[in-house]
Amino acid sequence: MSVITILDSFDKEVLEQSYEKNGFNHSYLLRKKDDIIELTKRLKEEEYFLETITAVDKKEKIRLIYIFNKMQKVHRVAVYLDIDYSEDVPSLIDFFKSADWFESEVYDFFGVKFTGNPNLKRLLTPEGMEGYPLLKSWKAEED
Amino acid sequence: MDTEKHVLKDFYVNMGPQHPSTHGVLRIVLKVDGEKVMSSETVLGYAHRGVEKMAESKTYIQMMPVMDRFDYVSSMLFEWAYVGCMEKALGITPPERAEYIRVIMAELNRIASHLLWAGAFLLDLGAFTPFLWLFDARERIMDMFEEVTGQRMTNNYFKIGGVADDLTPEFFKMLDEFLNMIRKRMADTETLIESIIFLERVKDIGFISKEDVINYSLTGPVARGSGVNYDLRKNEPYSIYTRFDFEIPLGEKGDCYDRYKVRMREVIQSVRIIEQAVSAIPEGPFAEKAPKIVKLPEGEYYFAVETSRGLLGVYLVSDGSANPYRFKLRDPAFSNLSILDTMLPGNKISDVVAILGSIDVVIPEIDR
Amino acid sequence: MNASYFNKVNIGIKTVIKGLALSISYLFKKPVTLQYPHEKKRIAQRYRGSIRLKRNEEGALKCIACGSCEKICPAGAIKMVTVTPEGSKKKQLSEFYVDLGLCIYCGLCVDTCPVDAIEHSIVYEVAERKKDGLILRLDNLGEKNV
Repeated sequence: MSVITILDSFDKEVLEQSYEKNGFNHSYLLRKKDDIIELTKRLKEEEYFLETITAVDKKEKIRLIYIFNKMQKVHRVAVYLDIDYSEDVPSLIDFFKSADWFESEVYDFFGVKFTGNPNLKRLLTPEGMEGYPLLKSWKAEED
Repeated sequence: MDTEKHVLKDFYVNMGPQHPSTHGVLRIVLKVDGEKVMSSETVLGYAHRGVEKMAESKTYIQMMPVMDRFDYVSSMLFEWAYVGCMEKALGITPPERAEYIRVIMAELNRIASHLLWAGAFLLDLGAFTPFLWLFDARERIMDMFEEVTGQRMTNNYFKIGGVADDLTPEFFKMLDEFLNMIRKRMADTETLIESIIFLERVKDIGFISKEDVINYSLTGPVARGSGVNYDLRKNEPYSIYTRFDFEIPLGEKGDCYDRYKVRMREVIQSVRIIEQAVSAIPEGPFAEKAPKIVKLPEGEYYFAVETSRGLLGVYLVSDGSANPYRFKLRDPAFSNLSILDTMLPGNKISDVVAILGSIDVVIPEIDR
Repeated sequence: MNASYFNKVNIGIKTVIKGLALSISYLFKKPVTLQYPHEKKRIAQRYRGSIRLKRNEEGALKCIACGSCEKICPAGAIKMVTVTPEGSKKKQLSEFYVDLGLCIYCGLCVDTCPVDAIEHSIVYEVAERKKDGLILRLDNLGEKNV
């Protein structure tokens, strides 16, 4: 089963992005956040690996981006997820161990909590750091 | 003294942040039983500079020198990822000659990075001579960089639409000398090092299975050491890499020795690419005209290159202004290091140095 | 102690001797190290050393005080003070500071200059006893940049 038929079976919105212009072969915005678990499971069966997880502060919401890729031949799939600032997201740690650090990084910078990840911690910022620095509302102190 | 009562139960050893073999400020907390590692925890963030936040207040051009300062031993490969991402967004294609220059410089940088790694790795394991031999070779590359880019490490040479300046005749002379000596130097190093003393320390420790490569998103020589054929220069060819004839060295078992071997053989493959590029380099302009003030069209852009450590992706989100709205690095050493905590338990403390060394991490790149 | 142990020792001795012979051959090569303060490295013409302002044939500064270098400097190492003389519309440079303690030698100021008035010299020995000495001003720009 090709990956497109897999992706088509989810409730989603297709974003207009191309490989030549944006670097993603397929871009999908999932409407239900729990679908990411099922989607990851299916993609892993198709030998995709998790390239990275990151987020963008869109000022009203946080947009999570999961980038999957295939090793044999490049096929980069970007899966987007829109969430509120205080919303939790299911963790992908059951499928990809690398999700542990990727999710910790997103938690560290954006404060997004991933349910099911037992090691979620402030990975890069110093101890005692307050606030989440990559949120647009966070301002650096003047020195 | 009643020794019975003083049984040490949980004994922790702090390796780093100031440890010579972590090559930077990495801290590993090892729980040990005698000499054996029971569990470990990697602590990051000692070199965290908040670059991703900083990028939001800098212009696209001002971020260029910052790209050199992530992975300072293969800085031009990082520049390439960033410049490539912007070129993709702006729709600029660099001229032929620029592509060739980029390939030559990138492969030289890959060699420099591997030479530094090999020298330091062997030094960690107690071999001092190869360190000096390989650094002599690396020094020649640094001299070439100085000749062409003006700086030995933080080069800031790649520009949007090409490179900063043309190659000089002096550079070709130096390159020729370098290519003549490097093959023999690598062979000499291997003859010197492949004694039983070295092999006993790196063989059959630190196994990484093929499943773990997918599981932990490992890329670069770490993945290839386990026999996973994944190299962006072949699997997702960017620039003009399809024109060159080179092989991807692969390991079999996925132990420290395989990863060492893969890197040593990669040096020779990079030499082959350079030789082909030098013989085919066309005349012409070295840069396309690029805008002085860079503003990317609104949208998201992602571009990946193969650095000496693996897949490096630059992810830019633009809102049309002169500053990036979001700048994110998907850096190879970050996910490569994440497997360390699962590899260490069961090994001896002295093996930690070999295993950590074989992963090849550069801390500023991980901490960002 | 079995046969394989002695076999290993045997291989070990052999490989060590082989390695030694090889490294001895390197003893007779020309040394590659430089005795730094006495011997100095050849510096490439394009080397990006400390910043200096260029002058034209008459000895006047080429700088038109546009401020592009100040604006683009990622480290904030350049500071420019300008005056507009009475009766003239053109700005003039009255003071120019480069803080070598902040400068990252990236070359963006040189790239961006519209009139080619600023350049890198090949001076790389910029150590100073006092922090103040690292700040180049108009009057000592020439001093440090031989």
